[in-house]
Amino acid sequence: MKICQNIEADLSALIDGELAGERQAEVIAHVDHCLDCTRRIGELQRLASGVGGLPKLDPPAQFLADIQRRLRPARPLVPWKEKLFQPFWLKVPVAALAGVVVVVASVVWFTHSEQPTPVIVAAKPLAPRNPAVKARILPMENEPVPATAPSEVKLPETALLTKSFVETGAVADTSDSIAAGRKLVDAVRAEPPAPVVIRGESLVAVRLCVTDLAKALNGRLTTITLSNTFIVHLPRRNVGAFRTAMSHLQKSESMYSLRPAPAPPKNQPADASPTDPAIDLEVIVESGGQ
Amino acid sequence: MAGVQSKTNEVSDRDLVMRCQAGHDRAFESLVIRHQARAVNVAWQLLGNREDALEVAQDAFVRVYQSLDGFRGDCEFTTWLYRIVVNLAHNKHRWWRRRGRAETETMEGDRQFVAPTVPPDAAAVQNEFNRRLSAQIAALPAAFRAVLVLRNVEGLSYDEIAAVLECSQGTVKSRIARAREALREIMNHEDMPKH
Repeated sequence: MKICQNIEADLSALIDGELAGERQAEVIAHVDHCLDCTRRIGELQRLASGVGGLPKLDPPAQFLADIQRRLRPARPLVPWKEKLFQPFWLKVPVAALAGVVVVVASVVWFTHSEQPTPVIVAAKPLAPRNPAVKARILPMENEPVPATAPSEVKLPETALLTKSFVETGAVADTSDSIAAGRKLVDAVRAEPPAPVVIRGESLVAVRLCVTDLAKALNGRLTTITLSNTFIVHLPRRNVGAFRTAMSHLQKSESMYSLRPAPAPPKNQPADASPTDPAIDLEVIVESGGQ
Repeated sequence: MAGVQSKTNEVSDRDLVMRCQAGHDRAFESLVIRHQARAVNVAWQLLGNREDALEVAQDAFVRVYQSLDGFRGDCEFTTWLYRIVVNLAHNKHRWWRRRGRAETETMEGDRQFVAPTVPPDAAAVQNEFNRRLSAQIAALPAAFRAVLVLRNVEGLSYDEIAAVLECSQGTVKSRIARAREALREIMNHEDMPKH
């Protein structure tokens, strides 16, 4: 019968008590009127009880000991004190030495933790220097150079950027990267400020350098001319630091010019100190072909 | 997914596992003592060979010990243990096949089928039935044999078997029905003892 074939799996589930609800009622109703299925259920029950009645095998008395013997080479069952301290002649001196190393390393680390961590401003590697472009800072005749040496200039708090130019050497690739400029400013404003060295490879890079440097020194970049001339307004007390930084930036190729600043504009920023008159520092950047 | 519940009122399997994970080897010994009988018996019913069954059961506990750190309690410990035993027994069958050894170990000589208190005539009939049944179970595919043993020997529900074998409840139901039907067709119903 086709209906009998359709409930084969259900007959087995029925004797296991795994049928429920409407399906259970349907199967029971069928079995009540089907001699074949009634006989089949009896056979299945006898088979199930036959399988369940097969003799069992009990584990031998040494079963656990056999397992422990197999585990012993991999992970011996020994007390934790024994694991920790034995053999004494080896583990105690090694532990003591390790403790001394940890203490010394901690002291060294704390004593050097004052040093700001150098920041790589841009992950992009430096492009090869373009020989066609070079920056020069030209001195003007009768330049009013400050008497103080750069090393004697007391830098403002935000001028650690410039100080780091001289002292350390993390390299910031500013070539054509706005993100680099942002990171540069973040590095200067960090507490403590992270040391950064700027290496300009293009006019854009030099402009970024000058702009950020001027900001760090409480100055500002005011003008960029068609002949690639940058004009920066700086407090006089920071001129030395600026020149040091720029000479480091461009090394022996660097030339610069300084001239007195014109009268401050009416919309001068409020934070400019009236007792600290600015001068104009004119940075001229020329292409090599001109 | 349902798990196989431990039927003990002592410290729970979960607590023992946590103690094992904390490095208490005594807890592992407790787990072995508590579950060795079911591990050995399942392996025995699946393999039909005493030495291989004991070896597989021991392998299972060794693997449990070595893998305890990774056991996160997603299922009951017994579910996990059954799963390991079934898989190891399956591997043992494949190992036999590769070496050309017959899979149908009849268990003769390894087991005493009927208790001596049973009358001799009935004992002879029952012994013959059990012997034939054991041989036919051993001849079943491994997947069918596993569901039959877990259901009729260990008494697990379909849901628990599905958790052990990591398959659906419908698959378990189908396999049990097909396994029993295969046995029913092979075993002449006249040979079955009348209860």
